[in-house]
Amino acid sequence: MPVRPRLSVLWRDRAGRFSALKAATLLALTVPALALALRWSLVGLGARPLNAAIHDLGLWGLRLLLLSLAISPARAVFGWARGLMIRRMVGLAAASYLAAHFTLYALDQGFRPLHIGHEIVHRVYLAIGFTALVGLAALAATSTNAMIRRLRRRWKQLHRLVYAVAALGLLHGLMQAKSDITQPAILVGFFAWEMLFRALPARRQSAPLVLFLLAFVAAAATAGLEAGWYAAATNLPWRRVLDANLMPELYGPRPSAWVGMVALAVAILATARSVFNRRGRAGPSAPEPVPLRG
Amino acid sequence: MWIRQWRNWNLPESAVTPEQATLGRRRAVALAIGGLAVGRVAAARADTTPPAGRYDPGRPLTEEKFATTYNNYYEFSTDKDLWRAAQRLPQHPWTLRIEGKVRAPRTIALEDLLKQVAVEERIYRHRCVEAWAMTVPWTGFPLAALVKLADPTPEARYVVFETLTDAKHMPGLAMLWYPWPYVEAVTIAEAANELAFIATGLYGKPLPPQNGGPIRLVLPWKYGFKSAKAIVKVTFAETRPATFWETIQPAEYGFWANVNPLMPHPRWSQASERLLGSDERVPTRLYNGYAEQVAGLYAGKTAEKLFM
Repeated sequence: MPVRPRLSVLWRDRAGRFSALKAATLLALTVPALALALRWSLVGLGARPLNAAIHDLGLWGLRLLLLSLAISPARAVFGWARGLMIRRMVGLAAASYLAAHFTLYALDQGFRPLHIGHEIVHRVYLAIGFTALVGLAALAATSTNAMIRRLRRRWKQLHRLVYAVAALGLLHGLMQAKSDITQPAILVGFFAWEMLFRALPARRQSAPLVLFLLAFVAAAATAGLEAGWYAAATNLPWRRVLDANLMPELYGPRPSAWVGMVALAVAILATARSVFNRRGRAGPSAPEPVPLRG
Repeated sequence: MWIRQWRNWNLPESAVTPEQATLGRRRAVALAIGGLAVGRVAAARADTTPPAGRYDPGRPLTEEKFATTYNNYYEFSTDKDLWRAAQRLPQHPWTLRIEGKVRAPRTIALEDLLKQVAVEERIYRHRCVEAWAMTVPWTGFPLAALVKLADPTPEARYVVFETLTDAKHMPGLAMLWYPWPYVEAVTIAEAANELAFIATGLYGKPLPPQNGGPIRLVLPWKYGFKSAKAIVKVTFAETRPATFWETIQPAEYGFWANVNPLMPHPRWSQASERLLGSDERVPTRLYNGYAEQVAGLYAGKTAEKLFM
């Protein structure tokens, strides 16, 4: 049966009822763009406004992409099945921010298609970023209900591409940095947590002990990836970068600390939930029913 | 938003700026500086012929608020937005150590140094390796005057500049993996070039700390990172020193770092530049448009990587 797409799908659930979760998510997802637009129009973005806006949109695009990858872990750890209702919206928001990121880049280059094509081919970090964007566009285009129905099993296979898209996007973010990679390193660390989490056997994913261990491993991986990048891409002494992780009093929280703290918070909340559940009902909690599509 | 379509028949900015307006603005800037030296500059500016046009930037001046709020200065932060943090850097008293291959090594107070040189104003284009540019009026004196004052011996082949390392006021120094102090250098021949300049002022005011105050180097034909800020030591050396960015990423930043639109950075194009405070992108020129004054310095240096 042909269904006319309506804007109201953005805040109604599948049964057509108003969903506070979806509406709140929709509003929250527009906040970074609105904040940027307001800053730009009211106080300006400084000496290179386009450049600042390009960076801001790219960073938010990557953050939202990683957020969309955090929703199934949130279901597994906290039984937050309703999260699936907003996963598509978060993913599409990431795609929108990154499309805007690319549009402003094109504007910065004077909208000259040949010149832009030449740049993308010749600058490795642009080629990587553009590849990621094309992949994400394919995922966004196949995110309609009709496409999900049409592609069935292959839809799931296709959408596993999101991991490659995120990895390439993060690499693009690392490569464009002049020498300080703090911001992209934090995102790389969260991505490492998300991927390590997916490598866990499903029945262990909500075990508090495993999550504590994962927090430690993800923080160590962040520190290792950060120092490894400095070793590979610069001539800076990577040992000092690595050592800085152990001296927060001197250097402040390094990327590994941010990743470790968030991962630790997840482990602590999972522990609290498991204790609460055990007290609430004797015996292990039954997994909540999970709808196939959000 | 105004979108500029770039066409090859576009004339350079200089072709459209009314000459009279340019002179009027310059005179105003020059007069704002005050003092005897400046009186000379203003008088020269009032003349409609060179030398006023000798270093004509051919572009409008960058708005002061942009030139003083968008800075690369890793001693403070790796962000561009460091001008607030830089305000805490004490600018007085300031001394300069002059040593190495000189007849008499010495330490000289900045105010004593300024009494021994003729201060003038120069409007230069400034091109960052990150493909942005500004056009600003510096006040100061030719580097050649400092070299003369230092009185180097014949063995001196390089002039090496060292930036202050004041961990109390420069939070970026905590990033111990950077090769502090910031060191940059030029050859004796480059130092003698008429364009090489030591700045102690900007827009007719004392040089703001975020722009390298109270005293910095200005080499308008090279990428900005060559022009060391907050100089505390000038060493005359026989051998080429390891410079800051060359040490960090030798595959991306070199000793010479002369501006060249045809030589891309390993990661990005250097063909054009974004003018600070505008949505305008203009083509980059060889030696940042100063080839006439500096190209001769590099004649025969074919084995050197002159443009990175």
